[in-house]
Amino acid sequence: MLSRSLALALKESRELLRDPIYLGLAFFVPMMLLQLFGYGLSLDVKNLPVVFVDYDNNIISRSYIDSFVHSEYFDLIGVTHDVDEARELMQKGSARVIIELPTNFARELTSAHQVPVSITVDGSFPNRAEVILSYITVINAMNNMRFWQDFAQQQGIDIESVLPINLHISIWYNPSLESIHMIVPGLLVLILMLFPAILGALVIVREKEEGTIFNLYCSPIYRWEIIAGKASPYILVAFIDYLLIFVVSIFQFKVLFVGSFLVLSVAAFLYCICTVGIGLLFSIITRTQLAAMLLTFLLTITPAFNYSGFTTPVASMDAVGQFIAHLVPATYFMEIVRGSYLKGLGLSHYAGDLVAMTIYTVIVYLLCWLLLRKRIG
Amino acid sequence: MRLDTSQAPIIQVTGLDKRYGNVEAASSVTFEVNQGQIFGLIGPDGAGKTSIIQCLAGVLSADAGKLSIASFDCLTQPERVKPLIGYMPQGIGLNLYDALSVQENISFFAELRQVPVQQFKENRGRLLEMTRLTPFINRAAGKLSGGMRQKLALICTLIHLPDILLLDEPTTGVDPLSRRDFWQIIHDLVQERQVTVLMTTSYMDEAERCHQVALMHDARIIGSGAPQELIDEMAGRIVQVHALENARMLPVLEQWPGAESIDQQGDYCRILLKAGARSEQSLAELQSYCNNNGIQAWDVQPVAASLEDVFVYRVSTSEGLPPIKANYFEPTISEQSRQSEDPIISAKGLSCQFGDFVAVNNVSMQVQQGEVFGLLGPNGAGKTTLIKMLMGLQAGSQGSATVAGLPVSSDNFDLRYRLGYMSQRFSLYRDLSVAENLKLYGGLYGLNRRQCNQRIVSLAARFHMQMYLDRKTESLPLGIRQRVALSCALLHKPSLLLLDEPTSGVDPIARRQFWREVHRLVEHEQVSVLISTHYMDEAEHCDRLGFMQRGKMVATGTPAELKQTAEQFGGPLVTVDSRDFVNTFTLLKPVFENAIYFGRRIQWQSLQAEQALQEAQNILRSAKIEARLRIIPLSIEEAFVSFMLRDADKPC
Repeated sequence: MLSRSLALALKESRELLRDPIYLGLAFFVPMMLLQLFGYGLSLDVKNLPVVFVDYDNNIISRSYIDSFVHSEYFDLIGVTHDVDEARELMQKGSARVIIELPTNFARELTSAHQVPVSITVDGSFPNRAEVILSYITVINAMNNMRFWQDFAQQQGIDIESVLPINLHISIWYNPSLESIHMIVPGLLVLILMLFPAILGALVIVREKEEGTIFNLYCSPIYRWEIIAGKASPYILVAFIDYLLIFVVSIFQFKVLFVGSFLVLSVAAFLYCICTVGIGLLFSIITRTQLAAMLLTFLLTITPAFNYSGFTTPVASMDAVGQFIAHLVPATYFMEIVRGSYLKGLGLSHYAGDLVAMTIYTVIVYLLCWLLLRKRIG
Repeated sequence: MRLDTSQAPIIQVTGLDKRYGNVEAASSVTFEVNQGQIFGLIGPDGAGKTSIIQCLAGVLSADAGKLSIASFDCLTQPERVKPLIGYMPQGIGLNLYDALSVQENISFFAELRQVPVQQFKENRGRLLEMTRLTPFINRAAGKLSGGMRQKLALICTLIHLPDILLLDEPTTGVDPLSRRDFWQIIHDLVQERQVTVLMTTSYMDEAERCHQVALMHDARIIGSGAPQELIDEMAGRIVQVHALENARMLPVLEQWPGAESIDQQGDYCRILLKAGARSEQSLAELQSYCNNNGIQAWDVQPVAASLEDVFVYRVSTSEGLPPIKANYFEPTISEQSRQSEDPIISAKGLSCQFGDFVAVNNVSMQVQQGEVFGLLGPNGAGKTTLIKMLMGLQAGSQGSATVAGLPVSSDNFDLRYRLGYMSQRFSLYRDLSVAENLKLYGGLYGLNRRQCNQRIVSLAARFHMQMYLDRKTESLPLGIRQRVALSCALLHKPSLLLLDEPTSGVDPIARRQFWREVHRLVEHEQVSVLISTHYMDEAEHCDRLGFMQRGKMVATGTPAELKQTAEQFGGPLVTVDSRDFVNTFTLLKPVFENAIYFGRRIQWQSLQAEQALQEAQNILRSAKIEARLRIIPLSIEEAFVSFMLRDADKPC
């Protein structure tokens, strides 16, 4: 009985391989998207353009400036004596931070007086502004510390005894805290959500539009044979996409990978079956390729982007958010992907996620089977 | 071999109702088809033919009624029906996968139907041979010509040897030669395997090839039976009149009380006499009526009815449609002189190539002022591209043309004002009213409001569509939409009308009215007309014709000239009518290789027609088969086939 599904799968594969547009949609566009977002979507706040207004202009004020410039977080745009010039740079967007040092900066410091340093931050991107402020606070604290050390030394005080708490920090999984280790695996989840679903969404509705669907409707083929024959080539395509993205993530983006490739691949295969099935479901309920495509696009990528834990961990969402997150298959796969890349846990840790994905997949295909009618209208 | 009619009908449809919202697709449709029959559902687009076929194929639900195939209920047990049937949807090769080769398409259908390997190989070889597709086995289906696609579609439908074939408009827009192949295959299958065929068509001449037909109009069956029986009912009721006064003939004859309906074709009119009229008496009356009204009529004689006559008659009696009288005359203001001798279209060596596909191949043609020139050819022959080239909408790769006195080029806007164009699907804005559509076109052609309104009033009166002016275009029947589109093309008083397949899918009555209007326009609006069609039977309406095939202009001339020329190199038709048509064909085919089935009739072209007739008569006499043999002139379709065959059957 498998022969009809195989015939259908063979036909689908031939059509896919001979149509440059579909082929591009299957392989080229996902890889391009990976490149675009892999490089573009960095959450790291680095190389911030800063401009100093240094009214004092001596060795102490310059050493304060240097302390910013030498960190990897700030890029010095310029040092000026004119605050208006600095403001103009901010307005143009070439500077994100203005730091003003008053005329008596060095004198006040050396005479152990408090000096006001005024900071102006571009607040257009609130998250970034907050990060900038914390950078400045830390660098400033380090400066304070340095000045204080100098002062203590002069006074002959043992500095260690004065600072009560000393932090020993170690960061697990992503010690350098670079967002690339989190973005690229996340993209794997999103891309494998979107493209298999879009391809799946076209396969049945395309035949509806072109009229060839009658070949299937009018033949004795079973509905499950149609679904199996239609889905299988695209599951394979999706799995190849997974392998390509994996290779690129390791060798091009140099993402850390400490887990089991086998475990990740098993989960990815299941996920591909699921996402192709979601597309197929939209293909079954729509009449035009355009409708199927739009529906798939909106209903897969939007929830996956917002709720799967791509940017915010699911655990930190509110109750409603968490509930929605668990309706999105990407959430389960995201757990496994993040875990595999950075944590390297064993298969048993993902049992819950795998079971959830399996149930999800079964429901999706069951719906496909129920809604696929060998009839028009 | 006689058909066993004692068996229960293999297809049964009883009281079928199907609606889409407010639109009826089938209303109490009832018919039966016996095994081994070719049954035709005949009617224009929108008559409901496709819905019936889809209900039978088990892919459409019905609102009421019962349908069964081989005693399985098509509505409740569709999966039991499907293994038995082969269904070919409407559209040329619509069930094919364009990216797949001929071979791959056939294999896919075989695997889908799980045809055993041995049977598949035998069938495939045979079907490929019959359709002459073997040389193209590795070509992608998307790169086949229309006729070849349709034949491949048929192979795919037949590969599992279904007992019942459901074919939806299998020959629409297909070239006449492929159509002939197609019918040959169908007849062979019926003869060999007692296959049952239910097909739909909007070609009336096609219908005469079926064993049984049901005429459909407006979701209802308005007549059914064997085509000959239906035609025989009309015996003696069709009269043909030739007259010199072409233009005046129709309006005068329409006032004659004895006529039910009239159709003018060139210099003669076919008149359907009122029911109950006695033929001889009517002929005499008609002759004297013509004489009294100053019409020099000759050759007034009864002629054989066609299925189209039956259709027109049935529709007019079942609905009481008032025949449109031709007594409206617009006072004509002659703005352009028509006396000039220059042809309205003069084209030299036009060619147009899309990639490696030659859509128009070195076409030269001339159309005289005041002429109705018909471009005749199957879908994909290049008619539309040629028309677009003549308008300057499509740049050609070679050649030049002068149209309406101006050289054709894409930036010649003066040319546009002299041309009126009606595109294949009428390009009207469906959610605008008729008046709004007309005003829009008027605006596009720069008519001021006063001119435009005047023109709309006069065109609405000419085409009897005053009552439709405020209706939304989408709610109108196809025939009315066609008139609106024609009005749009005429608003700016063009000197040349280019009509691209204006009658495609329109019912015979609307088609007749349309042609009548076209001729009247030539008379009253001083336009010349270039019109394209794939209906062979419309050729007679044109003053001159161009046969197009694969981008080439195969022949040009008047319909009579073309038929004559074709007869000169292929001979007239020898036809054999016999009740025992199966044995007749078996006996005659070995002797006359080009003999084909035409319905239950057998016919072939022969240069030595008299001799062939004698020979055939001897063969049949010695086999003791009763038959009627005749020699008849070629129809325009057969003339076309002859030209195609002479043009050498080389693949494109």
